[in-house]
Amino acid sequence: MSVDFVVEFLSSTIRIAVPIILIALGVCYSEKAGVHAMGAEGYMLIGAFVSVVMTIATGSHFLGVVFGILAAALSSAVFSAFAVYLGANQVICGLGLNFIMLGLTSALQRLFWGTTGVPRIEAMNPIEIPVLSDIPLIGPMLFDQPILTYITYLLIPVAWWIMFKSTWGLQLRAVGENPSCADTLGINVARTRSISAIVCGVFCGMGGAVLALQQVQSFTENISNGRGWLGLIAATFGGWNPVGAAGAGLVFGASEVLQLRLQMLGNIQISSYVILMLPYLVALVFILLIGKGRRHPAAMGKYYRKQ
Amino acid sequence: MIKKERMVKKEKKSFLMVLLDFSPIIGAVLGLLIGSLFVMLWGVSPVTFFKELFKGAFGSTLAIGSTLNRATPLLIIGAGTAIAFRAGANNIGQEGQLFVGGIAAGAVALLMPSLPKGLSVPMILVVAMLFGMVFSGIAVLFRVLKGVNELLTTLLLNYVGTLLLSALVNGPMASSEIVSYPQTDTFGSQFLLKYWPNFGYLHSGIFIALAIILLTGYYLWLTPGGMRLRMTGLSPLAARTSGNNPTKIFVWSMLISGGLCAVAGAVEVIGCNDCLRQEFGSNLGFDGLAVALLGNTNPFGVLPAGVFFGALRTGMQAMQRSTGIPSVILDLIKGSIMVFIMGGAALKLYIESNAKKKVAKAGEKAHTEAVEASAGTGSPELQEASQGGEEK
Repeated sequence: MSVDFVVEFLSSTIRIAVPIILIALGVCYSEKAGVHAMGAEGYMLIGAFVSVVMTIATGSHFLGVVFGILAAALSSAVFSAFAVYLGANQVICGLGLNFIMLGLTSALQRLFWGTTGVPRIEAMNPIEIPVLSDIPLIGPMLFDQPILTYITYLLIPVAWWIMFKSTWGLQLRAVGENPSCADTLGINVARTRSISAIVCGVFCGMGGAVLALQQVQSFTENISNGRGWLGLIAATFGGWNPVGAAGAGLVFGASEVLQLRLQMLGNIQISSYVILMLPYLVALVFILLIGKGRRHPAAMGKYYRKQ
Repeated sequence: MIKKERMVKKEKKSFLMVLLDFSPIIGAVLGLLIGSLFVMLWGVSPVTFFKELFKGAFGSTLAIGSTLNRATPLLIIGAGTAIAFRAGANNIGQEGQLFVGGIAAGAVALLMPSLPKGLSVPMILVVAMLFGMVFSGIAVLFRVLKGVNELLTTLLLNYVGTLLLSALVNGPMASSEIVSYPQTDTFGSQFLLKYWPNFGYLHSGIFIALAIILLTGYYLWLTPGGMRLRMTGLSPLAARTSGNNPTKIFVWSMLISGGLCAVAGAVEVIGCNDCLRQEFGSNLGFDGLAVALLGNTNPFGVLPAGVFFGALRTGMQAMQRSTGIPSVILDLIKGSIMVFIMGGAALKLYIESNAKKKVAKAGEKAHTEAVEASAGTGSPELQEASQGGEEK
């Protein structure tokens, strides 16, 4: 266990955890306002797909990320039209959205590139922050990452501040706990909820863009492969608090890196499929540990309509 | 008098409301339409799409046989999911439970190869049921002991079940021969379901599925237990006040639901395969969930819905072979159907509550007028209160 190994392990943990953290942040917003975020996986898929397509089409990573986020925001707006305004079952609609996105992205990918697969795109190079990256241990771990990772660092406290210190955050939490009470105070419940759902879409779309542009550097069928659900669990474990959710996302990232490292060692007696199970088992143990300590927002999943 | 009123009410029902009564069918039609418009990107017209789909699913005895074979596990999963949903339990772990059922079939066939012919298949079904109950029991334990919503746990268990199957067929249960795909040794012939080669290889699992549909339908609608279960789903509070234990019913419905999904997996393994393969029926679980919704979470509705999805899957695969349209479009159609069914159901409730609100408003207005008429000027407070109510 050399220092290099630890630094390398932790920096790849951060790299892999970033999409999960972003999704967890989004889920915090949606679920704190009382809307199940079952569609996280779907937003992530469409975000990843559109960002890759636009990056290839325009040659600019920036435009790719922007369009990926826009596409995910658009799909979350459609979801909130059904689930928030009309009052359709949020769980089933979210699941349905995941399937729509899976079918859409896989089919379009084959239409655009046939059987050859999506070409690899240029990686987003890590940027060393001048002074900070010289700090021993922490420097190379935290401050030698691609740009979107730095944005994620900033988004965590910003998300926390907006949720717990701003007026809109208070309204959002009120809507998730007791919508009829919030309504009597003059808060527009449906609008607050749908904005939170769209914020969730934005975060998940960005998560998808990070996954596709920074990690995989391409698009493959079902690229998210369960990360959306891990983000959902991370938000639950973090008690729907952005900071806690980010911490839980880091743990999932670490378990995924551990799984990759164990697979690379090769000569281990355990089946590689059991190792692949690791993040999910960690999630289950997490859930078991937190138990009743994490009460979900009282009105989560409940449709509210102005009387 | 009462009868007359009822008749008047029925006549007043608008066309839209009648249409919304059939929201599952509308959802299916809209989903198919979206799919047919989407394939225009491949230069295939919607008419050709429907023609090819129908031909692929029902065009020959072989096609009909594979449609029914494909529908068999969906019917069983649909019935099992219907029980959970009717009880208000959100079991979305069908995929994992299905694979656990497959593992059960493999375990029985490989560990007890000398079972006599009459016992072999029932043994597999019973063991699969038990395995499925234990697997969904994990989610039940989490919920009962720790209050964790079963949505998250069943979803995670899907991944665990899938990887467990992969680990087993690549490890302890792997075939002794060299095979191209991860699988177990071939089962003894007494473990396999009878099938008819001259009727599109249809296997007898369809009769197991029909029996399960009949049993679950009978249970849900014609027994006191089924009534209690449905009542709990509609209102846990009402169930509790009338002396039922919602927790008990939740546990029971989740276990039965998980058990039935596992049976579906076992039937798929011993019907369509002769050994346990890695990911032998991926997508079956969530297809089954969509089938339950399309069948209005009613086992008898699940029957046509299951055949519809079986036909869709078979037809899409045939179309992929003939026109090159990827069969993943089925996921798009499936998702749209789910969203539209839920949207239709919600729209119906929305319009109904609008109508109720109108009636309530009219009543309030009449009440205010009556109060004003009887009390003349009346007390200002009362008037203010009633006006306030009206504005709202």
